[in-house]
Amino acid sequence: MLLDIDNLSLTITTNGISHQILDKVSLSVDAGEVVGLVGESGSGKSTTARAVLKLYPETAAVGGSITVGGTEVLSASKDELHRVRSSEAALIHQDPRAALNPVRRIGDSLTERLVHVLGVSRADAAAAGLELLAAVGIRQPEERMRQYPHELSGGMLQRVVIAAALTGQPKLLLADEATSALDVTTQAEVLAILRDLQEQRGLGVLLITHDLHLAAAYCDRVYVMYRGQIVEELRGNDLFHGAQHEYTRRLLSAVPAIGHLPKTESRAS
Amino acid sequence: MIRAATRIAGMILTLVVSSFVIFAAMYAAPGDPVTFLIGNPENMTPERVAEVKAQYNLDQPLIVQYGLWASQAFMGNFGTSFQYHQPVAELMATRLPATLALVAMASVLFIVAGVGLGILSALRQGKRTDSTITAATTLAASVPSFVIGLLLVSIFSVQLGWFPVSGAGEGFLDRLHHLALPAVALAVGAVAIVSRVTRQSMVEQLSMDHVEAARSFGLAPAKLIRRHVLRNAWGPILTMVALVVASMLAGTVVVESVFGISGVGKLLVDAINTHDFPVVQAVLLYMVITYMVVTTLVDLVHPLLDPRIKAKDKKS
Ligand SMILES: Nc1ncnc2c1ncn2[C@@H]1O[C@H](COP(=O)(O)OP(=O)(O)O)[C@@H](O)[C@H]1O
Ligand SMILES: [Mg+2]
Repeated sequence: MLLDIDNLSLTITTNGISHQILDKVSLSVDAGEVVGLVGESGSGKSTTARAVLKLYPETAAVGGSITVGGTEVLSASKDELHRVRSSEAALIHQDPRAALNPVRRIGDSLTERLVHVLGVSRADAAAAGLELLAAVGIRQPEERMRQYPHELSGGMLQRVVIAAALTGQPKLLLADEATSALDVTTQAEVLAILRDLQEQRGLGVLLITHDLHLAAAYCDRVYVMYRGQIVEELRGNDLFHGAQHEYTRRLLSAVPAIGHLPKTESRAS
Repeated sequence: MIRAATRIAGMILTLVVSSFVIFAAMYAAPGDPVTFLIGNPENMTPERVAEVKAQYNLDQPLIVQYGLWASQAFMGNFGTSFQYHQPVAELMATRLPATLALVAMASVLFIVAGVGLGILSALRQGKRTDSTITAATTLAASVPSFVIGLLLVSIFSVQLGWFPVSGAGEGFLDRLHHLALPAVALAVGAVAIVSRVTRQSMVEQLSMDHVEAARSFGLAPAKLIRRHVLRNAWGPILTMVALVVASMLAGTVVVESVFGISGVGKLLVDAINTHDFPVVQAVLLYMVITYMVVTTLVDLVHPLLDPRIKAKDKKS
């Protein structure tokens, strides 16, 4: 297993009041697999994804285990954690405009991981960055590298963020609502690019979304999360018809049936 | 282009209005300059009064006097001091270096201490260091600068003899030595303001997504703070530092008096006490101009810190 979350519990105490945010969450993502994590806002999806990179407040009480490529993250040494963060798994944030430093040039943000974390020379990092920008379908990449985030559209920025996530050649992508901020057409383009990259590189993807149509069409398997618990696991194809849990049905019935999804080849096997 | 033009027009208007107010205020001030100029009451003959009035244009209507003064001032001629019988520009030129050196030293001190403590506070947010820094700087800021000045003098100059008691010194090193204590006295109050703005601005940046994104890919904490937090926090810090520097340039009077430095502040106080109007006018005008220069510099630097500002300006 590329990612194995086992009985993950997470409690945050603020002002003396404890909130159990995750309750015995277990899920896994294999190499080359696209796995969905759906659930309403506040159910704990982002907290789960961030815990994979040990991004929670120091004050959080955490139980269970998270294994990324054989490394147990929660008990990892500094060096191991650094390796997981810099080159095993990459998190793609929901809002690309917020995820990029507004006062730095695109090229600088894009190559930051290579130059400032992995110690690659600036020239090599720039070459790798240009290649990745081309791979996510950005034209005139040299020019884009010199621009600032406010000069680019949301769709363009999301591609940049995806390219930046790939700079460390990770095996696992944690895409937290990575396309939710985009309009439907741009979302479709970005998802298609993500799918291509995923297939070419054999990436494991944990795709967090509240869009059930997207999850059903895009994911091999889907976990449904409710109030910090995984309540159901389904095949992507079965999401709309095979749901057993009452919460999943309620979630599904709240979804308007519109066919706005990108054309991705069927992953039924 | 249009922005630059409106900006310059605004500056000229500010200058005209403030210089007129400064000039007219001299009229409203109590005391008759003629009496002072003649000095000895026995010489107060009507002929002498008329002579003096003519010499200093005091017989002309206010607006004409202002026009004469302003056009001369524009050429760098601020008239002759009533008291010293010396061109005002020369007086200013001898007094300015001490004041500018004092403010420069104080600025270095309060910027380094204020920003440093602010960073520390932000990084130790909510912990003991944070509250200690806030309490200590607030307490220090609540002590008037002349009290701090007197304390410093009595300890470090009188008792320990490490620093001279008064004067501004000659030459670079001697000046540093002389102005060290006055600069500390001037800087102490500003440390609290600057450290608080630094802390606030950094805390705001710390919660940004791009900071967490950088942490998520393993950027080392020191680099994270430098490249994503401090780098983005400079805007408000710069604005506050500039405001403090501008107010210091106009507010060295107390510290100059305590440490016997003949700077611009002392010049102003002496001039007010002796009704030396041309000097008062020139010093007040200097304060307005330094304020304008400092704020203009800040406006020029801001777009370099944040490229979004340039874009906004272009659009509007
Ligand atoms: N640092 C934190 N402190 C307190 N509560 C938090 C923190 N992070 C997340 N939460 C809470 O945990 C719950 C789950 O949040 P999140 O994982 O962001 O949900 P989702 O991504 O599914 O919308 C929410 O109720 C949120 O308020
Ligand atoms: Mg979320």
